[in-house]
Amino acid sequence: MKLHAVAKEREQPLFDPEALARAESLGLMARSIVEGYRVGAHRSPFQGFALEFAQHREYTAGDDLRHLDWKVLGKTDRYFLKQYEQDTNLVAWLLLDASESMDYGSAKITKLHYAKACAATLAHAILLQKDAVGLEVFDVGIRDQIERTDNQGKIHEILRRLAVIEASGKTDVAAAMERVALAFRRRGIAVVFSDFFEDEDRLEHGIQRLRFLRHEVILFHVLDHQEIAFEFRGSCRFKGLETASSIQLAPEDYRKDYLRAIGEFQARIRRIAERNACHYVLADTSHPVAEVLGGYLSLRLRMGRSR
Amino acid sequence: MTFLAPWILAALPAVGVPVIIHLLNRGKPQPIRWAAMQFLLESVHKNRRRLELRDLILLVLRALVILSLVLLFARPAIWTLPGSSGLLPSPLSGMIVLDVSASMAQSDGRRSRLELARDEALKTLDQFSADSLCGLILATDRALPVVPRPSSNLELVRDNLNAVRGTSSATDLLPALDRAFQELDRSPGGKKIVFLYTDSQESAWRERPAIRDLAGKHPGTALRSIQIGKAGEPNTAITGLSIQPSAPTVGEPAKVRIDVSNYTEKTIDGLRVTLAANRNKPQDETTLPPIPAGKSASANLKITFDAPGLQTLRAEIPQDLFPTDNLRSLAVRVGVPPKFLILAESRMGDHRTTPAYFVQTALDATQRGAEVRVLPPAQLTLADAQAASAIFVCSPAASGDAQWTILEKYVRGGGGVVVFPEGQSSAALGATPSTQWLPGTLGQRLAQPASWVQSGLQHPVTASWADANRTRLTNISADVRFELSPHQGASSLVKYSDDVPVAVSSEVGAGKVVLFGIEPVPNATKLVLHPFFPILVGGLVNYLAVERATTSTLRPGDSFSASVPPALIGSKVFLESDRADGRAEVGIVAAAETEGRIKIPSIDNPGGYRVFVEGREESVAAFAVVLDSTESVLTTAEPLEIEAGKEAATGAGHTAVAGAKVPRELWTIFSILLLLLCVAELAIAHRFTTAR
Repeated sequence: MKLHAVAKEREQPLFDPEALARAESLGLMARSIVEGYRVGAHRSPFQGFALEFAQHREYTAGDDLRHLDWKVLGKTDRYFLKQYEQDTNLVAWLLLDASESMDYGSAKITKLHYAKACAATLAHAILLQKDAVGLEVFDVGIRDQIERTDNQGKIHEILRRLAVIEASGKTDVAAAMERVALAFRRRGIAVVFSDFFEDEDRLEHGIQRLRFLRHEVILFHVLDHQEIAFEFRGSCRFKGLETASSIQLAPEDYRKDYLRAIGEFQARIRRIAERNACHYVLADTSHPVAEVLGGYLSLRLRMGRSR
Repeated sequence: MTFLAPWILAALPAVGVPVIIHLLNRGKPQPIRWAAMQFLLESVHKNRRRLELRDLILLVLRALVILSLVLLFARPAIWTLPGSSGLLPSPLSGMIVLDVSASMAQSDGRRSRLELARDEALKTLDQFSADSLCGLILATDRALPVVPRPSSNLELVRDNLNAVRGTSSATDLLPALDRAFQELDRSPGGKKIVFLYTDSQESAWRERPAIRDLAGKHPGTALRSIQIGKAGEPNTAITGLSIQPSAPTVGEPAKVRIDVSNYTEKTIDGLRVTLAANRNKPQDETTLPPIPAGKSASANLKITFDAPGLQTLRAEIPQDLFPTDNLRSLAVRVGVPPKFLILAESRMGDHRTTPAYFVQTALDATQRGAEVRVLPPAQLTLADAQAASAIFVCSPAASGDAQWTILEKYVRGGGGVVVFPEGQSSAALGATPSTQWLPGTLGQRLAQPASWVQSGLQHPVTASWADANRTRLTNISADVRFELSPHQGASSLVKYSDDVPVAVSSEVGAGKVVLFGIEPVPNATKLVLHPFFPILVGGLVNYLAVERATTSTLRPGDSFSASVPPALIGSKVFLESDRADGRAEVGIVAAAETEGRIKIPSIDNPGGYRVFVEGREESVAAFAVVLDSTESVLTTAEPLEIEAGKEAATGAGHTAVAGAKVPRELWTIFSILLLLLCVAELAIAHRFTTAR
């Protein structure tokens, strides 16, 4: 909690739509969150990622004792190390939804701003631990793409390109996932930032493609607080961002049913994630980025230790 | 249902306030660009109809709340039976005073006010307990007690109520209420109530202060007024009918003025007025110019009578809801130009010294339009005599027995004859067989001047001269005169100072005859040169006119009486109305001293009437019964409601109005209704709010 409080305090001045439109502030925020998070941390949350066992080899001095096979030692009293098939750096693919529906924000920042902040923070954190990161900004097609890189100097490029992205077009997360699945056979982590306002079957199909290639998939479900709470009052005219429909109504009258519908929607996305062994993270834009990311990363750490 | 404060209803448009608020709220929606549209549309699709229905229910409820609030303050009331709010006390001494004036004939097109009043009185009577007493008094402008004292025989009251008929009289409630209060004072204990059923016409309450005083004098008696009908019906009335000249003559057109009043609340245009004589078809008609509300207009129509005698005029306008005053009648006497016959020999020399000259001059002066003919007595025929209104015999000596016989027949048939002497030859006139029917006998010619005396003047011709300050008969004298001895039954017109009659008269058969004892020439008396002479001749003409039939105008309910010649005593009397066919027998001519008398009691229906006597073609009298014009003003006044000698507050819910029912305020009901509506509105609104 202390960590979250510090991170939030640092984040606040930077959490401004205009500031976020500049790469520097995005970088500053990412750095402040990551540094705040790393205070007292001994291990990266992304360490010990799912790399498959290949063979044993005899221990030699200087080998990391973490890879020592204790079971063999117990049975044979000999020192063997576990060798894994792939022992290379982690690659994390950041998929950022920049469709028009992400342009909604009941407060100062939009869902897109929030997603950008999350992506920037993660990119920064991954590069810092010497892993590789790739980025694709999409709507129905590719809006921008940064090839995988483990060069920490690339972070500025990533931040700059994130900063200039603006919301437009419709959503097609599944297509973006398919592209990643087709382009990168090597296992990695696909981190998706989207509101997932699209066809849920297609979304699940996209996830399954990634999972088939043994990619780990993390779904950051970015929703504005009003989309979750629907606390409008008086008479309102709602105009669809990705649709041409428009409707005037008293929101209080429809709140209950709307909340039920959006709740069910969240539950469905969560179930899709669960069915496909993905992580689902609800990113409520009223919560600080540090809190959302910190919460998730702490969870991963705990899961890593228990493994 | 009615409202005791109807002006509050002006706030009824406030019912639209919820709609206006609803529209204003819809006016400026907050625009929101929304991403999760599919979920919102899903919710809208599911709930729209339900919410629209809810909004409609709430809108209606809120409008109803305002509506009932406005209605509540407008003090709604319903008409209930006077006693329906509670049973009458028992035992009760009650007097039912039922207004039966002409205005109670007004109707709403279905039932008259009187019918409604009677029904309501019967309903009240039903609530009397068996040990209660009840009386019945009908009210017009006088009290008409039917069951004069409170009686335990309620059936008698009921039967009399059922038999009640309307009258055409004006209204004044005071006499009937006075009577009712007095009767209840004499009645034994128990609660005492006067039930007044009236249309509450303004004129009926003109004695309001007196009625208040009356109630104050009888503090133990309550007055419950039940107003029949809310307000007076719109009414147009003929309020005046007059003819010029007042005694028209046959064949001469007369001008009739008809006054029509508009008592409605709007201008009346194109009102048709017709005028007819007796029961004939209308002779003349016109359409009146627009009459503004509350104003009157006059029409001048012409009428020509084709027969002399007593006639009636009938003016009509189209019938409205109060038809009694849409017709008005007037009785008129239609005369013929009178014809006078002077029997006189033509004389040589200056005719201006003859009696005929002076008589003719006097007739010309007093009888305008009359035809005066001088005829030698020898040429007289019965036909000539019967065509004359009166015959003046100025040459009696020249008249033979044949002429005297003709004259006698003429007189007995109803004619009038005045006989003047002529020279010495006139002595013994009245003593001969042919002149015995004359009222006196002329004796010696006296050359002693004598003046008239002014005392003992009782004869119809001279009775009006008894006042010496107005007429000085003592200035009139005679130089040469005849001694005149009256026959039995004859009466003197006036006498000389030596008690010798100047003239005597008597009735002979149906006619009258006057015999003078002086020649109408300056040599005999200066009377003929005196201005008084034409007046005397005029008086004689009027006296001799046997047909004394009269015309008059009566109020509804008045009785009619008229004198007729004694010859008609015992004859049947018939009445002919200008509003109904046929003649109704109404009695016989009664004997009254020296004349016959027709008496017709209580004629109520307005109209023109002619009175006929059996055996005579001409009517002997005519009269019109005319509605009091105040009765045509149907505007109503607040009725008095008195409890324990004190006037109850106006509009306190006790005053009986329209449809013969009492207004009972619906304050409680509307309060409960308002409360229920408010609760329903709040409950529904709350339910929908919590459901959000």
